[in-house]
Amino acid sequence: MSIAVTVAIGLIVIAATTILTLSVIGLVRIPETYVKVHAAAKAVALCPLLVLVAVLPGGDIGFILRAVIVGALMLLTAPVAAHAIVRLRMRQETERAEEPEP
Amino acid sequence: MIGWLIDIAIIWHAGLILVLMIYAARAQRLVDRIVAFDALSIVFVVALSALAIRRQEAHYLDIALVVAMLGFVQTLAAARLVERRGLR
Repeated sequence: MSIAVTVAIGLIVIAATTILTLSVIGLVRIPETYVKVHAAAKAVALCPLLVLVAVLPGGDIGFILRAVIVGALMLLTAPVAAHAIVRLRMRQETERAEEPEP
Repeated sequence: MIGWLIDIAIIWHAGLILVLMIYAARAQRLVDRIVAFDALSIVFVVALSALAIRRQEAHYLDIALVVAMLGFVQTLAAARLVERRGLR
C-alpha cells in the first residue's frame, strides 16, 4: 500500500470521527427534538460512507462488495429512520395540542 | 503504519457509545432515547468498519451489516410502538 493511500485513509478516519463527535455533541446538548434529529441524521448518513470509502483500498472483492452493501444500506435506511422519529414527535405534539382545554 | 491512529479512533468511538448510553439513560422523553439508540448503532457501524480497516479482515463488515439492519429495524419498531401505545 502506497504512502498516499495510507495518508488518505488516515485523513478519512479523522474526518469521520470529527463529524461523528460533533453530531453526538449536538445530539446530547440540543433540547429540541427536531433540531436534535437534524444534527444526528446528517452525520449519521455521511460517516459510514466515509469509512467505507476508506475500506475500499484494502484489496479483494469481498471487502469491496461488503463495503458497497453496507454503504447502500446506510444511505437507504438513515432518512427513513429519521423520518419515523420526526413523525412520532409530530404526532405527539399535535395530540397534545388537540386535547380539550378545561 | 497508520494503525495507531485507527486504534485511537476506535477507542474514541467506544467513548462516544458510552456518552450516548448515558444520555439515553438520562433522557426525559422516549423520543430522545430512540434518537440516541439510532445514533448508537451508527457509531457502532463506524467503529466496526474502522476495525475492519485495522485488521484487514472482511468479516467485521458482516457484523457491521447486521448491526446496521438491526439499528434501522429497532428505530422503526420503537417509533411505531411508542406511537401506537401513546407513550411519552
